[in-house]
Amino acid sequence: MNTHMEKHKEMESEAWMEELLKDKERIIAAIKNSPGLQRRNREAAEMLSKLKPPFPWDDHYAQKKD
Amino acid sequence: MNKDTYPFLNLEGDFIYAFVSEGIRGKILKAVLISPLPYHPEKHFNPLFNLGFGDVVRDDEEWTLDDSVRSGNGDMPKVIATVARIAMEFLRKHPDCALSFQGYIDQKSVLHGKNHRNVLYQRGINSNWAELSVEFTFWGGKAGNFEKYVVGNQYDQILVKIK
Repeated sequence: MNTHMEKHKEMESEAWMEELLKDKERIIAAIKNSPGLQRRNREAAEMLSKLKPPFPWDDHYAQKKD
Repeated sequence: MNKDTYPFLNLEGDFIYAFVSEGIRGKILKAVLISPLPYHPEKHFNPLFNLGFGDVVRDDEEWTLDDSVRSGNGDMPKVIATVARIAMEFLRKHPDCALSFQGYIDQKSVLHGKNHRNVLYQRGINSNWAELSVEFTFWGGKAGNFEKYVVGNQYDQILVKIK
């Protein structure tokens, strides 16, 4: 019963998303141009650019080389 | 990770995904964007991507993505599990890539001194550690310092790579 209801809900959601995705190109543009996500990318890049060695992942990459 | 997740669609390349959250506030379109970060060869990670996600909303005729919202749809664990599943799929398809992700600090997070979304990400990682740590290596960053991920520690930023 539950599985049947979940399946039905899933199909409804898929149909709803399909309807929205008629505007797919504009949705993709909105996602790519999101100021919030762009700011978060900048923050992540900034945080990583400030890191100084030794890095905790050095071992990981050394093992991969071996 | 056998968590309950939403089915998702790959909208563009392996970098933009969408799924529908369904809860007490109805249906909400969610999107995940995986964006490249600058390459620092001396830091080993090549290529490194940042994962962000939020709600896709239509305001009048304009679409926007808001990554700062608390949807209040009552399904955050399922949403986070879906984002995790997308991240895992991306890393399996691109085993040379590493992913970075962090939550957001909103008023409630400041009030509680916690990055709420990261707490949920980490809860997901910690509760599935036995399984995840076999396939993936995690690092956690706090105040600009990274360490090998330690279950129980709280981080601002998390890096993950397939082993």
